Amino acid sequence: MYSLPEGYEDIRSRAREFALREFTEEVSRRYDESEEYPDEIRRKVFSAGFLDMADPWKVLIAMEEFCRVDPGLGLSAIASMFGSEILMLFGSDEQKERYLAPVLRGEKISGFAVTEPSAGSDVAGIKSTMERTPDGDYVLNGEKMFITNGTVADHYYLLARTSPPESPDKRHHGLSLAIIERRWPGVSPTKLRGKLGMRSTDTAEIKFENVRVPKENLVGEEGKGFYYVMTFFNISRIYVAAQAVGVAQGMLDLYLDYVLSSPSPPSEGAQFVLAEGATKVEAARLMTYRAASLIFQFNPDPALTSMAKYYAAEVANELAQKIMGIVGEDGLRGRLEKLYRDAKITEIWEGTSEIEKLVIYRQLSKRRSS
Amino acid sequence: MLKDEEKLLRRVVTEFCESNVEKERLRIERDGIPDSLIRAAAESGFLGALAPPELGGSGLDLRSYSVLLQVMSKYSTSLAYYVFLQNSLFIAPLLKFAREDVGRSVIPEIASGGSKGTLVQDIFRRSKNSLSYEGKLNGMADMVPLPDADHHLALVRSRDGDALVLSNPGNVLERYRIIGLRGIEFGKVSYEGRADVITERGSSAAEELMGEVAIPLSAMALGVVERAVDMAAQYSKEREAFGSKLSEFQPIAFYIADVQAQFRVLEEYLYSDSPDPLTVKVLSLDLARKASRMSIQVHGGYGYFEDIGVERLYRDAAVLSSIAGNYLDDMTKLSRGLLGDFAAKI
Ligand SMILES: Cc1cc2nc3c(=O)[nH]c(=O)nc-3n(C[C@H](O)[C@H](O)[C@H](O)COP(=O)(O)OP(=O)(O)OC[C@H]3O[C@@H](n4cnc5c(N)ncnc54)[C@H](O)[C@@H]3O)c2cc1C
Repeated sequence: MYSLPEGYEDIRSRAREFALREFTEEVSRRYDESEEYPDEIRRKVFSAGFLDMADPWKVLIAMEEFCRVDPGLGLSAIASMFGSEILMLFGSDEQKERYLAPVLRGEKISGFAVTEPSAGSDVAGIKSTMERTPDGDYVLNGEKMFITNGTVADHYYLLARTSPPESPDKRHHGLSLAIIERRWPGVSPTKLRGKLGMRSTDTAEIKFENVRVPKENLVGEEGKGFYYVMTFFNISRIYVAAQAVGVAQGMLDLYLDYVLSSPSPPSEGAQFVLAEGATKVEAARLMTYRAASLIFQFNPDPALTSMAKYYAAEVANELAQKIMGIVGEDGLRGRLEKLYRDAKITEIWEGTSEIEKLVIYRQLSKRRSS
Repeated sequence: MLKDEEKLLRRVVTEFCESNVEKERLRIERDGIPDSLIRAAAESGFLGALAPPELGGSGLDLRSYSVLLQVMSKYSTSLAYYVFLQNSLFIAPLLKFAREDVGRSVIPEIASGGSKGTLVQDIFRRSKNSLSYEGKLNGMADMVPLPDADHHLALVRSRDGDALVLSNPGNVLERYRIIGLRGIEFGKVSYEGRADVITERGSSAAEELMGEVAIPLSAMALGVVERAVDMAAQYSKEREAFGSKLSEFQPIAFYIADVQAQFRVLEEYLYSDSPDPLTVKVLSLDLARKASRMSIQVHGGYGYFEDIGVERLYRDAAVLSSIAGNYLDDMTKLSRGLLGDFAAKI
């Protein structure tokens, strides 16, 4: 796949225009400083038709183009549906009706709660528990950490342990996924402030104390939660790859502005930074689209997806450091410094770069042995 | 590598930072450096580090001064920069270029913390150069550190070339913080008033100045590296994933060992008998960027939040890389030292 499916270049232009019009420097700065959730932006993105889960290419392109201008605002808007694929794939009809539909209509916001204070990469190491009550419902206890949309989501898709593992090497068994409403008794989210970047995204620590979870809110089968989460990550990671491509492209845009606005013609050293950067961004973009095209045809290749995410994040962060070092003082305020701060998260969330590499190895070695 | 008195100084500064800076580090970043800390730094002789004792200073040589900045930068690069600004960018140029009767008299005030100095580097700005001097200092300057400082040294255009002048404070039009060194306020200042010429060799003074800040700047960068590595090493020994300490995973251990190995060689070189300033600068700034990125990565999600204290290293590394020339300028000079004046022109 060497180009986007037909019609998407138009969508790209619309997304670009939207981002340039709505994510002005003033708006960007305001949310970055206040760390408030940009609900007005989310609504506008929804009304403009970019949050259309039935058309994943559109969402992916919007993610890329929005992050090119302001990753925090772009992500906040698009991730307002965070985790929805879980219900699309594994949810019951009632769950889709009750929880998914309002999210897709832009009326509600969702979150995806896996990470805990003592376990992030090691998903199976989580400690939250959901214990069965005699009437078949569950009682949830535990703590989640770094949850995007934590204080603004209406509900979360949450992973907790429903039975102890049979043995230490089977820790990924006995985990289950459930839908938890934020306003239920016993749910207490606390906003976490002071992030390096992505500061307009809402991040929270959430405590769950004896939260009553009706059995209807269990997603899919009990004990299969780990598998559902990994399936979700194999999809959602591609959006992180698109974020990183967008951030990297945004930095190249600013770098080119800087070079061209110089009174003297750029040295070859300055030219090569652009040439090398643009080459890598293009490679990252192609990897992202290739992995995306397989996912969107329901034939995902997890190795490719992880490669795209790892490589795009690497390119974004490498470029961030290189360009900041060249632009110098002019880059210490404004859009460039913001992209530099925002870029770093792409190496961390939804699987750190190290975890992506483990996935790549595992997949490739599995293929060899089969 | 370090002489006994330098080791002693390192201990003294470490103790100073442990008792005065560490507990304030988040407050410094959020609200600026508290006055009490500036007073304490003055009392310890840090604000007049480079001034001779007869002008109220500590008379440190370049190596000891570097030790001071490196240690301080580990705890707060904002505070280290404050000391650097008073010394390398204010006291040092006055000592070097000012006549006895003009300029030097303010040094004791700066050393005692009674007043603050700053340097306006307008001469290096690409197109925005708008300060001029014709008997009076005129125009506007952006990115002035401590815009409310009592004394402003300015590198400006004058009728007969470039000059270094000492001016009274200007009118502060805007105050802001930049990506890093959040404890330091920057601003836009308009000047229209009396200023004394310190030297008329402005451009060459500026060049010399930039040459001389390379080592102190590198020392601050190494402070960032040291903190980044220490924190990553510590965290990797405590945090567990998949039932093992992070330090047990090869990639994590290698990241830390790699940065630490480069740090040791660079530190050794910086404190050797005759380090090449530009070489140290290019390599230590590069390592500061790499080390701070690595340390955030080792800390995972926690690294992304300010209370842990590694994300500020990442931001500070970006500023250190930009405040005294940029990478291309440095590499050009480095190439010319090696290959001759025509090198790296194109
Ligand atoms: C702003 C933000 C938003 C987030 N949003 C969400 C969200 O909405 N929902 C959610 O569930 N989580 C969220 N997260 C959490 C994120 O997914 C985790 O931070 C991430 O998975 C890493 O986990 P950790 O922070 O616990 O780091 P750790 O797992 O402790 O990892 C620390 C370091 O060790 C490395 N490491 C770990 N294991 C190995 C290994 N076997 N080999 C080599 N290296 C290893 C990691 O790569 C990393 O460099 C968010 C995080 C942030 C910062």
